[in-house]
Amino acid sequence: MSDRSILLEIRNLDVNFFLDEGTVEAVQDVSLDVFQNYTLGIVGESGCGKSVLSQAIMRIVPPPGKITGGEMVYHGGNAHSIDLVKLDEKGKAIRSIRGNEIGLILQEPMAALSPLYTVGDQIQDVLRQHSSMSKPEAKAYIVELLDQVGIPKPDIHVDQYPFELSGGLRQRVVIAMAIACKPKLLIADEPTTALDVTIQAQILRLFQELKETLDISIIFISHDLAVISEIADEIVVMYNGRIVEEGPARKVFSEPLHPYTIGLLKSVPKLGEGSRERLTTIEGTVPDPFMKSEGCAFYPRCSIREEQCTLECPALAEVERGRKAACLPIQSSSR
Amino acid sequence: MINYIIRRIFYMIPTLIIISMISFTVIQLPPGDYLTTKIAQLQAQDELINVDLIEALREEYGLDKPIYVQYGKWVWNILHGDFGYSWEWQRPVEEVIGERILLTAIISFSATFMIYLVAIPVGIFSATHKYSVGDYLVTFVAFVGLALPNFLLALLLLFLGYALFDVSLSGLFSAEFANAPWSAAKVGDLLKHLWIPVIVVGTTSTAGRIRVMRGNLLDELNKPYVMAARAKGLSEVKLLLKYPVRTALNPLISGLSVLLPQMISGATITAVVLGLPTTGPMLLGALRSQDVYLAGAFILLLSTLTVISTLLSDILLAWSDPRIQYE
Amino acid sequence: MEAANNNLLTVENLKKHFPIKKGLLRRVLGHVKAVDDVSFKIRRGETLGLVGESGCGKSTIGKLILRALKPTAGTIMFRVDDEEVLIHELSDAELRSFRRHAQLIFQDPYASLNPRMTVREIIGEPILVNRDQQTVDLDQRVKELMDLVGLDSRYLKRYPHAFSGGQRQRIGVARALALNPDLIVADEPVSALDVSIQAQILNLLHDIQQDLNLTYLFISHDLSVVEHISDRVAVMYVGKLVELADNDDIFRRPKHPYTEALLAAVPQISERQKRETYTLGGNIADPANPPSGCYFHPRCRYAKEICKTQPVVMEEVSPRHQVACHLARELSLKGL
Repeated sequence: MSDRSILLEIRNLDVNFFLDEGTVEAVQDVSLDVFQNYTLGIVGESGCGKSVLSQAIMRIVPPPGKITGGEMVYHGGNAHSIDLVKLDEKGKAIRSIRGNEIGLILQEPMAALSPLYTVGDQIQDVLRQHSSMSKPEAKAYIVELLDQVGIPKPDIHVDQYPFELSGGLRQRVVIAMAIACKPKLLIADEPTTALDVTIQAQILRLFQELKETLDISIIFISHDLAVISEIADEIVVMYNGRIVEEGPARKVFSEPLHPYTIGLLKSVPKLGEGSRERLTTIEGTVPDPFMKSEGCAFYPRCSIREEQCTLECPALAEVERGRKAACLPIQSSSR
Repeated sequence: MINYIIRRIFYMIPTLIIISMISFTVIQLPPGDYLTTKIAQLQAQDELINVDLIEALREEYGLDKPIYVQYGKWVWNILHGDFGYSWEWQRPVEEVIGERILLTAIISFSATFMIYLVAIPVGIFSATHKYSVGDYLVTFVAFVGLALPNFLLALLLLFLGYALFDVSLSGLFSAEFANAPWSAAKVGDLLKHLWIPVIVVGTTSTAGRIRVMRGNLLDELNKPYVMAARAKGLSEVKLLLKYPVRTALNPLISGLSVLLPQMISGATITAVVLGLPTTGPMLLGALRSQDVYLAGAFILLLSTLTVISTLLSDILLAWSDPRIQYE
Repeated sequence: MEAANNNLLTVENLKKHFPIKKGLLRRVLGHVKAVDDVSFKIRRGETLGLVGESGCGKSTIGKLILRALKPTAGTIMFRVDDEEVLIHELSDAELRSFRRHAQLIFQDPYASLNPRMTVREIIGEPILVNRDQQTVDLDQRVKELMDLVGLDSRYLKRYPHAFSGGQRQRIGVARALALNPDLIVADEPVSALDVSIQAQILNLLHDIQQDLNLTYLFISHDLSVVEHISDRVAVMYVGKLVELADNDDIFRRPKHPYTEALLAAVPQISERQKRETYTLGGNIADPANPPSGCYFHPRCRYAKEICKTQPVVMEEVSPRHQVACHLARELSLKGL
């Protein structure tokens, strides 16, 4: 475990959205490490900041969002490391990383592709941007690439428009686009959410294969605990813009620490339980993004809350070896 | 694509036939015809009437026959290149309108060209600089352009031209070229005069289209495919032009079909104010004096132009948006 | 043995074909067989889960039962107070008075509520439309319904945008309950919701079923949710039912290879080592141009010659377990 080299170090990252109604702290004080050739799963419900985090890494947070603090040191470049936060959002440096060193896969494959250009044309963009390939070279390579991501008859599909393909094939196209320049890091934001189960299984398998053949690191973002548990080595659970728990995937799911993780796991119906009983739920709803509280954001919904939780916002801290949680009662009991 | 075009042309034919029928009927609706009116006028002035000529004309165009026979004759003649006889101008229709149609087309096409040349980049600027000083300025100017009636703008420009530069900018030609045959010098003179009517005719549409372009592009800028394109590392200008701008152009392309005929028929007041030898004022006159064949030819040409420009913009749209051909 | 009249809904040989029109003259070139020869029954008070992947026709079945669509063929029989109503034959007027017996809960709580109506208007609308029912006090009834679905009845005059996704779905449930229906067709009622909210709505559906003796047709693509809520489950593939059995039989003793493949595809939170699964290849067949024989044969790993040529029909292979597979009696498939 210790010989893994770090690819991306995120420290105390803050991303705020400055809206007329107030400021939304979409990502707050997030620190995490992405190691080489492993899969980091980020799980959380809508609005927890997981997508914004992925956009922040690419430096494509849409306005009025802004990175307001922290650093993201990328060690992938040759010999020297770069703090992505310091780069100019529109500059050459970050653009030579986007699509080249770090690839991004978005949730809706139909929406992530323009309906006006053929599949090949859209993949070609990224190749021609980052390499000196000629058009025919690029095309030949794209056909190869489509074949690699499991698209049948790649020589025909390369000249087709996205709407001519099924949902599963479209997602494969988006994946092909993201891996075209052999990036070191692949960020996949809910890549299977819009797909049917059998197609989802195919895509998850493809991710596993890519990780092995390309020696790539993956940040896999999903709201679906089961999907994350199938694919991730390490898991980060986010709530209200913060990381509340982090640890090895199997541990987090078998012995969750944070009350939010426990609640989430209990509230999903699990296949094979067969029960028609009521589910255990997390009462209440996600906090209003414009409301700020001194204490822990999960306090109103928490099952183990204590007085101290309203006073101080818990920081993420190691509770067991290799396992972190942002929860005061748990941190104090483990000490 | 070929199939699509054939289908569209196929749809055009019945449309044109129906339009020609309706317009012919409407023109004929008022009681009497041009000749009876003319005879009455001449008799009132005690002038001699060339009865033979009138009878010959009446015979030739079947004015004494029922309306469907007249219509049949009219269409038959048009198919043979004969648009009929303008009573008012005492000349064949095609001679009367030939040059005017050409000049109108020149003004319309130049205006259309200017509208898109200005509206698209300004709209893009406005959308990509949302809520900036530049955007507010563009928005303000665009609203003024929308609100200002064309003829007022025409008068304003004429006045400015006269007051500041002491030149008369009305008409399309200087006096020495007005009735001269076409020559290189005449074309040059035309170009010198052209910009005023083009600006006048095009301002409102330009303003409108800036707003359309801005709105469409703003919608597109938030779409995931733009973020996906940005994530590829493309430069902002490159990705903007390739992805959202092209999508945002589609409504402008389909708007092309309305623009052409609108400018030919709609600029009548402007043409009167500016004294332009275009079709608008002539159509108005022909309708007033029941100059059947002249008015009919105009209306038919206008509707044909509408139908053709619709076809053209649809073909352009199908070329620009591949989804359309597959529907 | 349950009495025959215990069936609230009996669907027989239900078909819905949509014509495909093409070319200059919009000639009908063929049909999309969205629902093709589907038969099933739902007993009073039970939940029938209907699962399948997108485009398999499961939502169309829901719409046909509520007569939002007119069936191409087949019968839909609904039992109201010991009288049989033939839904497929109802005239528009009869349909209006029937509507109170069967209601729909939509997938998208954002799209299915009119943003310009208050909660009171949304929930009260069905009551007002069916005025023949004696409702003394509309506000009182709406408040009752809001209490029932766990909404604060003080928010009567609020608009949908003031509510969270889960609360909006509660409004949708309250609207469906307004006329005391017997049957509720729930079309993906929790798919658009967050995990923690999903559990709250599933519990709500569970509770009101107990309290009001409701019957559910629960349409979903999510097998975990269907397993959780259903008494019996029907599996659909390209317009046809392929398997119909009690919950436990479907999930533990599947008899159709498609069911087996679906179960294998569902990701699971497990402490075990990553499961040794097989992944179903290929894509869902095109309902406008389905394969010959059994529609599933091109993707089926057990397919034999007979599957390519002979169409399949639903057969009872063991008590209360129907399967449409030539090999159902031979195969031993893996459940959970």
